[in-house]
Amino acid sequence: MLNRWRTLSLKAPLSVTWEVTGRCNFNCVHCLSTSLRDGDDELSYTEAQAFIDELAQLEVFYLNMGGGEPFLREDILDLLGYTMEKNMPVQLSTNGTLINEETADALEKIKDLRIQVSLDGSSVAVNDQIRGSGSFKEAFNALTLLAARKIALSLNFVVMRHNFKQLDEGYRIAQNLGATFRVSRLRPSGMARSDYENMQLNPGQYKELYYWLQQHPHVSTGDSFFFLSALGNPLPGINTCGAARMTCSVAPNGDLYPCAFLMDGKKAGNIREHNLSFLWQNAPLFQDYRRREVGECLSCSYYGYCHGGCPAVSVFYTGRHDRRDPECLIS
Amino acid sequence: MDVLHKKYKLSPSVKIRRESFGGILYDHKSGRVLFIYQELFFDLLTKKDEITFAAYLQQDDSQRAKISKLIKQLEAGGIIIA
Repeated sequence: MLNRWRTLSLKAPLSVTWEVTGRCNFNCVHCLSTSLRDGDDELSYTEAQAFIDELAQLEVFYLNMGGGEPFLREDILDLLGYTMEKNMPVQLSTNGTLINEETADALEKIKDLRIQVSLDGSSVAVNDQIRGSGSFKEAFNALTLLAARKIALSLNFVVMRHNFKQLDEGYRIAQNLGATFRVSRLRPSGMARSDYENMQLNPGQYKELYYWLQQHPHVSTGDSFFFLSALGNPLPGINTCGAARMTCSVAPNGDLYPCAFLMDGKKAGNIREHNLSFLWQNAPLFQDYRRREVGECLSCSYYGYCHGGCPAVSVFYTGRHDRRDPECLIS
Repeated sequence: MDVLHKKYKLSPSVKIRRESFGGILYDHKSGRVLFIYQELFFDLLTKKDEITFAAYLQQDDSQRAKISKLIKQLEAGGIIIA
């Protein structure tokens, strides 16, 4: 299957993920981030404004803001207001703990904002084992406050071996709140590196998940599971990795990476030293990712369905991005 | 009415960006991204007040059928509104 856009060179990313802070009030076992735990080197408000200006100028379609916990940045509401002034839609990922009535009222006034609250289990016992004591109650409270204000809402569920059985119930919770249910693939980055093999889904669960996703077409995945498309009909999405081709990620200190799951490795540069446009076009690391072909998969008849899978998983196991996704179920 | 004669507007939730191969549409409401590989087609979508595809009326049958199908898909997906 020809994936036509893989050969295109876009003038700018379609979306950018920005970890606005590395600070967090949680210590989740599977967090993609192990970066800065203090706020010393974060982009200042003025630097952040210049960054948002450039995203708008480049016609980047939307900005994903995450962290760390974004609401630990004292100026987060101002930053959201500024992105709104620039007509830049934002998807903000949060653990929900710092959202109260007053914050929810402020968020309601921000146009084109989608808030993604993390809940990694449909019960207190399962969720809190992953995210920490009290986290289920606080996330659910935030979801309720936001849903009451009709703010566009997603419930993000990182599917893992120990919460897999709660997928249906998580979906039901999202439906009851009027939220989109988003299921994300666990990646071996950040905190998750230390116990990845015990947390990842087993092959049987991955297969079951593939059929579950086929039966739930309205569940969003952020294109997490395209490596499963080789099992049959492709899942909705572009069925290939968008790192450095369609998207990129900025760390709290301005370091630029191909993807949020590759922030433990090489950086492409820093947006304090060069603008994003220059790095997008010229960074050798990005050019390397755009040329990525997975040689050992080229003879596979399903290559067009997945293009070798997720490079972050390959890098974790082999140190190289041009190796087969080790979780491929076909091989 | 033939879709090539109809008048459309771009949905308010859609953003567009020109690229060397044509352009890209992004619908903030659905999160869908669409790549448009024909420069002329993309040019027509950038008309702010009134979009028509009459420029394709002079094309051959197969080209008209192809474009009409694309227009119908965009309309069904809420990207363009009659």
